[in-house]
Amino acid sequence: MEFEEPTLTRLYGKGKEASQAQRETMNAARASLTAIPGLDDLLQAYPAFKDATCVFASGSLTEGWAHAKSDLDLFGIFSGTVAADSLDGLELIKVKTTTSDPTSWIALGEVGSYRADIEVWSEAQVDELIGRFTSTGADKYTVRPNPAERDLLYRLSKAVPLAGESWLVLRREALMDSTYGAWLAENQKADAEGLLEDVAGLLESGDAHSAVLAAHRGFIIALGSLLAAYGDYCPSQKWLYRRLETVRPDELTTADGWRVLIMDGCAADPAGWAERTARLIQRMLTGVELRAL
Amino acid sequence: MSEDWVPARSVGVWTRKSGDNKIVLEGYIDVYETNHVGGFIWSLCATGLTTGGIAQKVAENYEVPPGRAEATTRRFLDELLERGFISRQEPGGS
Repeated sequence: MEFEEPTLTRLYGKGKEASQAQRETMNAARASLTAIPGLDDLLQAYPAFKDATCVFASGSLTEGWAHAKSDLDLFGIFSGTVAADSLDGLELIKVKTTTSDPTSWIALGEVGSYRADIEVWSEAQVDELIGRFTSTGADKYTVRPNPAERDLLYRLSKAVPLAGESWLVLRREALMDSTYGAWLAENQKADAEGLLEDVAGLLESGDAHSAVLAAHRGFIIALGSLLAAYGDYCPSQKWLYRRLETVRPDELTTADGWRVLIMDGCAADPAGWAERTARLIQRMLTGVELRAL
Repeated sequence: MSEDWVPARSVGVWTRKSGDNKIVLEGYIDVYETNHVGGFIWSLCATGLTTGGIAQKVAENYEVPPGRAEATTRRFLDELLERGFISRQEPGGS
């Protein structure tokens, strides 16, 4: 290719963080806020959301877990199919869904001093997802929610409404009364049990190092299952410590959970660590059976 | 000649290719795109090369005079530094 002067062209954003001084100003603005931006801030930036049935915030900012680089996670629920051109001016990412309307959108924008990830869903999509887990329960023929949909259901369970609170309350109640939590716990339990079988086989064959990795992975999945049995549907492993500290399940102390997460004692005795962790996983999964299934 | 330093990519910058050897760099909010020469320079920012070493690669790859490659590379690296996409490390540092 021919030589040309190297360039750096801004594609999105307003250039508010173009210099170190500006970035420090933005960081300070976020740190000084006592409340997340509200509906007025969103509508001022993106008027299309005035037509939403419901707008809610849900994420690390609303959980009180935010860090210096946390974004603002917003969700706009509309009555009909949402056309991408109605969200003009936002950087859009198309998301495939398993619902009858197979598309949702993530709009990347900025609200106040925050980067905002704004997910756009229709009422019908939300109702269809929750409807898979109503009283008759899910079975092997139930269409599994994909990762984006599982994340949406988690966010719904923890949502802070900015508009359309009555719509949100009904859906959240329907979700928490549904069999979704039990389904989530059971699915993760099955995955963890598969890894327990691996741990047993690997130890029997003398492969302690692989047994350690299988046990560690199995513990993380079993912990997700246990937390789901307690109504925590969060799909993010990054927050496992925070979630454990918040839920405080009877089956596992936060201190014991943390020791396994950081593989405390593993280097000195890999086989013993894998075996002890496998026993702990068994006890956690027994708790899941008693509580959720 | 200006002092050499080692450009290190800032932790937390999102990068992706965008065709024709261009690179998209995402900060917390603002998103930028390089042209192909900018993408080439960015690709050398995580290698431990000094500014002078990167300029030498630019001169070789694009067959431009060393002096021009040096000036152009330093100017672009200064812009990446200003935007927060890289930080300065001393040569031989970790």
